[in-house]
Amino acid sequence: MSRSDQEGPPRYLKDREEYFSDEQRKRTTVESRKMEKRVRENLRAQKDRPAVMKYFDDIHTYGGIRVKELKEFRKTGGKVVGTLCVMVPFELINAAGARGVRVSSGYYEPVHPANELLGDAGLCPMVKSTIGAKMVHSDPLAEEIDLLVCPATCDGKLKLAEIYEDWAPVMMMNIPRVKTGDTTSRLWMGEIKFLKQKLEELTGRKIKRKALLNEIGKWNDAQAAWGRLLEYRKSKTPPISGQDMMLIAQASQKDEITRWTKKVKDLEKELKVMVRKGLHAGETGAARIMLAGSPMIYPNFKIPSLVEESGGLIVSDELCSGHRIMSDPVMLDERSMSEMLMALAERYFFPCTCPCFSPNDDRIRRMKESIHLFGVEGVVFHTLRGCHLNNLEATKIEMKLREAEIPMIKLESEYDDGDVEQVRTRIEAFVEMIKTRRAFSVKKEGSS
Amino acid sequence: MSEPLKPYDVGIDVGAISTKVAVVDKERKLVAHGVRLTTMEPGKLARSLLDEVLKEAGVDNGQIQYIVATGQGRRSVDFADMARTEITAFSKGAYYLHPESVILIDIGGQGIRAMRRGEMGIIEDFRTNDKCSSGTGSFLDAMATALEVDIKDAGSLAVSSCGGEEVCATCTVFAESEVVSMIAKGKKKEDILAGLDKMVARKVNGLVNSMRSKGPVFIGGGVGENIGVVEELKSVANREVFVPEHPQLIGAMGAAFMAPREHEGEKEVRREEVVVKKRSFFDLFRKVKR
Repeated sequence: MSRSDQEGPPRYLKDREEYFSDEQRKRTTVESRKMEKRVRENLRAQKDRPAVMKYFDDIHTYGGIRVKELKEFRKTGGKVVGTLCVMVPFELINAAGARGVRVSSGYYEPVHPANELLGDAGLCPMVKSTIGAKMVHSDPLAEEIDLLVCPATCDGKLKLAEIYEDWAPVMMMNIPRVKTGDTTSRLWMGEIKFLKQKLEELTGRKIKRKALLNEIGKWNDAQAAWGRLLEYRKSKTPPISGQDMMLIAQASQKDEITRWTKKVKDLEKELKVMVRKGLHAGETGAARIMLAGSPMIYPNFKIPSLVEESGGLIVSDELCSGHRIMSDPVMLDERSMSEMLMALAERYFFPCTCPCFSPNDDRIRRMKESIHLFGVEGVVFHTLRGCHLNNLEATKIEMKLREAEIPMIKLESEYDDGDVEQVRTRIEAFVEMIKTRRAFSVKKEGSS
Repeated sequence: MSEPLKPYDVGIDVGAISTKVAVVDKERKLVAHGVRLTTMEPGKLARSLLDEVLKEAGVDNGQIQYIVATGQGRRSVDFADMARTEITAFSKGAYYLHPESVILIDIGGQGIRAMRRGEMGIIEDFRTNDKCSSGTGSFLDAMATALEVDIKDAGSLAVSSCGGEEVCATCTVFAESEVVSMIAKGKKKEDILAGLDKMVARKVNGLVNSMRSKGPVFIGGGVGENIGVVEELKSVANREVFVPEHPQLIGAMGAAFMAPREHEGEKEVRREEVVVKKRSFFDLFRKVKR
């Protein structure tokens, strides 16, 4: 059970407010803001970018409209629930009358305050950044949460949640990491029921059957709209870049979902016009790349932007910061409360192919399916430093992909700009390799 | 299109430590070359080095068809017609110089790159060192400086050793302090150098083994000039190791080889029609359920 129920002194950092200097707080805030602005400008500089994308930029803007809305919402007594994972059912949060936001951090600068406290022990930079941002209060979005829901997926997240308790109430969810059999389902179902209870306690409102049904409907609409966007990525010249798609997917975990769905539908209309005009994202004959591996949370768009600057175009991804957010709708058989909870539990658990699960053969099956559907020519597998689970799975995936004659490159990166040029060289070489292979296979086909 | 091809192509490899220029003819023979340390203005340096090389070889600027840049500073060579990564360039160079080699190793000033070659010289897979420059040219350079040996003599001196020392540290900074302590103990320079070379060879061999092929190895890059490392690698690799005549120039030559041979138009790229099929998400967890 969570410690947040009981009052008491902080466990990790006794003098949590005095530990960091004002100078450091200020620097982290300024640098985070600068970084977000730089990344946003970089995204806006993409050629033939749909105009609707500005809306999604605004949702992600540092201290932008979404933060203001949530502030207003909290003033009227509303509760905001932060999440750290794609396995938290947003339908349930919304049905309780609360708002959900994903507070995993993609900012580089907060890594430093976290290092100061935890030491640079090869920990995952995303974990360090998330905790660091909370320590020095540098992420305005993370400041607006009343409860943090953290599924204990990997070791990093497990302890992250524990440390986070010094700053905000935390509810941890026990993820059954061995993904087989009946006990798995039972444990996870119990956790979902516990989450429901916790949310009801937080908002002081019972989750009604009708409200939940309504929310499931809204989210399923959103999934359907996302599914229609995907169709455009299958075309030979996709009108939308992979970075933008990732931005849209991540916006769904911050925004009001009905408004998000509406904007996605607007985008779809705009894409239709673009296709008619023959406009497309990326350069002509770009290598069709799939992104895989560790999550890339906005504004950490280092790898995707390098791929798309080096003559590649991301046509698919299997990231929990991208397609996996929206990949599957909730399937309802019956409309009783228990059946709905069961359906939610299934949707948020079984399709998730996080490497924290074993067996996880489903991941490679889904990857192969996407490779086929989206005409992927090469896979860029990105691991954050210290992401042991992805590192361990990378080799297996590489072997399986080699059987299917799909080349894969594994890149390890951190939360800083220091390795940009090295990574760029590798990605460029990878793209060159794909293009040569393509030209060669055309030659071979022609001669035979 | 009707214009006849000029006889020479130029490859410029702007590496982290040194800049290499190679002039090749249409038979892929090396005509002239030059090497100089990379400066803060790689573009200017490349131009002046190229002019110098051309003057020495008596080749006129007008006889050059294509200039291809490669290496980490390839983008700063503004007068080049094309820029390709050092990985692609090196594999091209190695393929034309020794087509039998399957694993291609490029040990440069700050990077070690390993490639596996497939059909037609196309690379199938490659790996590079991550963030750490241990075992590269600058590592050996630092060690030679610590031992007060000219880097040019370091290889031959190491070969003259009767039994090498064991160097354990792989980090440049730690290895240097280890070397200093060995000097303090009165160990011979050649033995220390041989130990260092053995360490580098082991590191490179690890990379060779990770490429999952039993084929012959091609060694290039500046460290390929160091006979000490090459000899050690030959003894640990347990397979054929090929060293070209000018290991340092492979990248630059490969870049020059990439210049279009004949007037090939942009090839139309065909791809299989992408089959649009409705995904059946639920088949999966229907099965798992209950």
